[in-house]
Formats: sequence, structure tokens, C-alpha cells
Amino acid sequence: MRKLLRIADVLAIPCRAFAVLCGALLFVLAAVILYDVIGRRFFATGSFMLQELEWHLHGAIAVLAFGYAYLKDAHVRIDVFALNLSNRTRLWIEVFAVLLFLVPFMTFVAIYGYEFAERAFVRGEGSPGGIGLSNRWIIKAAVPASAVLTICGGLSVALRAIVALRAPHLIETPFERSKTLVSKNRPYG
Amino acid sequence: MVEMFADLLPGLMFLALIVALFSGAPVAVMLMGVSLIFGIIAILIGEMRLIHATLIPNRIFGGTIENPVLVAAPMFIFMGLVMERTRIAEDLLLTLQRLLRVVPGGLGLAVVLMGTILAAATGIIGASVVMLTVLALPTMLSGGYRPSLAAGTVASAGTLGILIPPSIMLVFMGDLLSVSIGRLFMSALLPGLVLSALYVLFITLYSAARPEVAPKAPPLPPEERDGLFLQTVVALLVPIALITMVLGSILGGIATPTEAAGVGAVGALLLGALRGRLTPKVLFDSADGSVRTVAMLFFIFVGATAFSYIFKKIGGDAFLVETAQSLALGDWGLLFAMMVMIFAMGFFFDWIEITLIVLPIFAPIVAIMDLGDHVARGDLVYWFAVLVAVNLQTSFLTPPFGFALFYLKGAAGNLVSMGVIYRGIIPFVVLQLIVLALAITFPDLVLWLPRALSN
Repeated sequence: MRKLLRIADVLAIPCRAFAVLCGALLFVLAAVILYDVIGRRFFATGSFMLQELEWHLHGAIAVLAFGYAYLKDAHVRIDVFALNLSNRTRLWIEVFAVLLFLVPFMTFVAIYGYEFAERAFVRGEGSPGGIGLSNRWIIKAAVPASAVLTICGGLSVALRAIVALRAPHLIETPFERSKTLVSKNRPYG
Repeated sequence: MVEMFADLLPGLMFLALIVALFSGAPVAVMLMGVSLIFGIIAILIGEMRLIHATLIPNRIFGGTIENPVLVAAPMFIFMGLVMERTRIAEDLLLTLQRLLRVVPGGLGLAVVLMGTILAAATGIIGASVVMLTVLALPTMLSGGYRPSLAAGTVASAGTLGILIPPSIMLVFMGDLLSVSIGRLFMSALLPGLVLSALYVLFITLYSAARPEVAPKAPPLPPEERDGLFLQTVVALLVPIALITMVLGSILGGIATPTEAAGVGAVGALLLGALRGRLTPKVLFDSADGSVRTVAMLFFIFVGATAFSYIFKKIGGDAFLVETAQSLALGDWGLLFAMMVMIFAMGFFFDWIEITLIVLPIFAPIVAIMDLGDHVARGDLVYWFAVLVAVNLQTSFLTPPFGFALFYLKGAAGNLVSMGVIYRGIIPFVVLQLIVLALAITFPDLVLWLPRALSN
């Protein structure tokens, strides 16, 4: 059981690292937009490249923290009725949801997302018309990367849920509850 | 046999989703699971080929990442969280409460005004109701307010954020319905302000008529009045100026929502820095909270992308349009039916699930609707979106379920009972129904401002 917990901890590491990256990119995105706006309004320097960079940054922030949010139990769930179920039943539901739904779906996205990004790399795709950013494969690689990170986060939660079921004295919940959150059972960040 | 099954598939898929959602597992994971199962079935019975399914990563990229319109969403969320974590929001509420002490129902009015001004900071209902409950409910109760009035005020003010721009929900709606977000903001502004004005009117009149439900606080002692002017300027006018600038630049057509959101986020950071509150911990917490909220939103977006793609592939669009037409309700009947469905979903779901899952499904029905002279075809989508927004607010507050009520009760603990909350919410629900009826009967309430501004 302790071994499972260690594996869960290892799986959580990449999720955390990418969440820090996403957090940092928020500041970068805000700065890029500010620079773009000032440049375009006052100095007529705005460029198509900057605008492309904006959605590139947005895209990375949007999809690279799914696994991290899962670790923190930040994903929305409809628990009106589920709250009446026993804790054990809910843990089993979580395990099955991850193993039967999340992992197969994200594996599919990872495989075909990889092909999707690879195609862009082989063809040397850039922005249409060639006036934006080149190397489109980098941002396209965010799709398979996101899928792999989500699998890591999901498996980490599932492993902890199994430990919580088998050895409740070790951990009670599969999630890392953060003290900064206002609500106990409905954390929205 | 297989053919009949194939015809029923879209309906079954929708039913399966509803059952799956109530399991209590994350909504996005259930969307993915249902898509997976029905995708496999569709391939097995020959309704779809594997090559079609392999386009899903393509769709995820196109919808979530390569989407300049949605860049505004993480920036508005970031701006809101910075304002919350630097306690700009809290100061705004406390200052409003001090200024409005002598007005009947002053503490309640402060809550409504804060909900109106900080609509951006409070774009997610769960989070905003919790924040207002924690900040304002104890003060109102210890000030002798009747608990039902206090609870009703907090819950209804907390849901204003989805209607009053800059609302994150409107950003997503604009994207999903392929319409201009700036124009959608303009359409929602007037109904939102009318609703907020009705809340203010109700609280003032009710408190004036029955002072015992909302006792006036004693006037500020003179020693506390020192510095009130300065505090008002710093805590009240500066955030209002920021929000007005963000909103004004979008409405005036000076900036795109993305530009306004990015500059707004920088503005919020600057405000926090000027107040000396931008500590490393606050910076980290705002970024961390934003990352979680953004991930939560787009995780559902990804699940909903897969769901609606498979749903379309197995003939969902045709199924819905045919079902809608076979009901022979006429266009008004259809509108009513969709509103009822959205209303029912609001008992359990935040706007996130409703907008991301249901809007793409309803979009083809809205596209073929024709209400003749009542609403011009080009305006129909904007009008529909605003109706959905007002409808959702009502739904969030309607007992016995009501999504916002759960959050209020969850954050308030034993301060108020569920029965008190139910009683308190009734007048506000009535006011919302009035605005909804007004918006349906007089589409100009929604359509006048965008028309006037674009001239």
C-alpha cells in the first residue's frame, strides 16, 4: 500500500510542474496582451505574431493543468445525490471512472494527438499565410502532452483512492485539500 | 433491428450522460466516458468509422487552443482572483457598507452593488456565492437583519455575475453560438442593470416599510469618519474605475474582449501593488487558483467537445431537429420547451455544464427558429443567449434544489437553515421572473443598447 502511495506521489510530480508553468504563463500572457495593445494603439507596431502568441499561451494554460486540478479535486462534480452514498462507494466510483473512462479516452487522445502533432512537424506547418509564428507542431504537441498529464493525475488519484479503500488508516481522501480554499467539499479554486 | 437501434442512439446517449453525471464523479470524465462508449458502439454498428473518431484531438486543438476568442476567459478569471486575493473585493464591500449605513437596508444594498460591480470577479456562481456568504452574511446577521432577507440578498447578488458583463459565461456562449462577444456584452448589460436596480429597489422599500427586518446601523462615530473620504476613493472608486474601463472599452468598441481582459488583469495587479498587498504568497495563490479554475472549465470543454462530436456523428442534430419539429409546438413552443429544460438543469448544474453541453446541442434548433416580426433573425441568437442567462439565474435560486442555494448553505453552515434560505429567496426569484418576462415581451430591452451603440 505504501508503495502505491509512492507511485501516486511520483505521478503527481509532472502535474505539479506543469501547473507552475501554467501559473507563470498567466503573467506572461497578461504582459504580452498589454505590450500588444500599447504597441498597436500608440505606436502602430502590433503584429500578427503577437496575436498568435496570445492564443498559443492561452492554449497551453487551458489544457496543461487538467491532471493538477484533478489532484486538487477542483473538477466540477454533481454530488447532490452522490453525497448520500457511503464514502467507500464514492471511492469505488472514482476508481472506475478513472480506469474505465478517463484513462482509455485520454490514451486515445494521446495516440492520435501525437500523430496530429507529428504531422505538423513533418510537414513543417506554420501559420496560414506564413505571417504568424512558425513551428506549429509545438503548440499542437500540447494536445498529447495534456492527455498524458491528465492520465498521470487521474492515475495518481485512483491509486490513492485504492489505498483509502484498502488501508483507511493511511489516508482518508485521494485528494490534496488545500487550506486556501473556502469551501470544504466544493472547491472551485 | 440495427437500424432502429441506430435511430435511438442519440437519445440513449443523452440519457446515459444524465445518469452518469449524477454518479458524483467529475462531469468532464463522465462526458469522456459516455463519448467513448457511444463512439465504440457507433463504430461497431457502422454508423461511424475509426478515422472520424481520430479527428477528436484535432477538434480539441481547434476548439480549446487555436481559439483567439477564448483568450479572454483565463484573463478575466485571473483578474477576478487577483481582486479577491488582494482583498480589493473585500474592501469594496466593507466601504460600501460603511457608506450605506444610514440608508434603509444599507448592508444588503452594499452586497447587491458589490455583486453588480464585481461581476467579473464573480463569474463562477459557486465561488461567488461562497465569497459573498463568508464576507457579508455574518455582518448582516449580527446587524439584526432578518436571516431570510440576508440569505436571499447574498444568493441573488452572487448570481448576478453570469449576466452582467464582463461575464465569463457570455464569453463561452459567444464562442459556442459563433456570435460577437462584444455585442453579446452590450445585449446583456441593460437587463442585468434592470435586474440589479429591481433588487436595490426591493431591499430599500422593504427595509423602509418594515425597519425591523433590516435595522439601520447607528451613524459612524466621528472618530471613524476621519479618512472615510480617502478610503472611499481608494477602496471604492479605483476598482470601479478599473471595471468601468474594462467594460467601457469593450462596449465602446475600442478594445476586443481579449485586450480588455489582459489589460484588466494587469490593472488588478497594479491596484494590488499600490495597496501594498501583492505579496509573493498572494501572487502565487491568485495564479494557482486561476490555473485550477481554468483547468476545470476547459476540462469540461474538452469532454463536451468529444460528446457533441460523437453526438453529431450518430445523427444527434437531425434527431433533435426532427424531434423538435415532430412535437409541433411551433417556434414559440420550442423556445418555451428549451427554456424549461435549461431551467430544470439549473437545479443541479452550474452554467459551465449547461452552456458547454446543451448550447451546442440547441444551436441547430435556434438556427431554424423564426419568430417573425417579434425578433429579427440576426438578433435572435443574442436575444436567446440573454434569455438563457436570466433563466439560469432564476433556476439557480429556485427551491427545492437551486444550485446557488447549496453553496450558500454549505458556506453558511449553521448560520441559516435551508427553510430560511427558501423563504428569503422568493421575492428575488419573482423579480427575476419579471425581468425574464420583460425581456421576452419587449426584445428591445436586450436589443436596443447594441443597436444604439453601433450607430
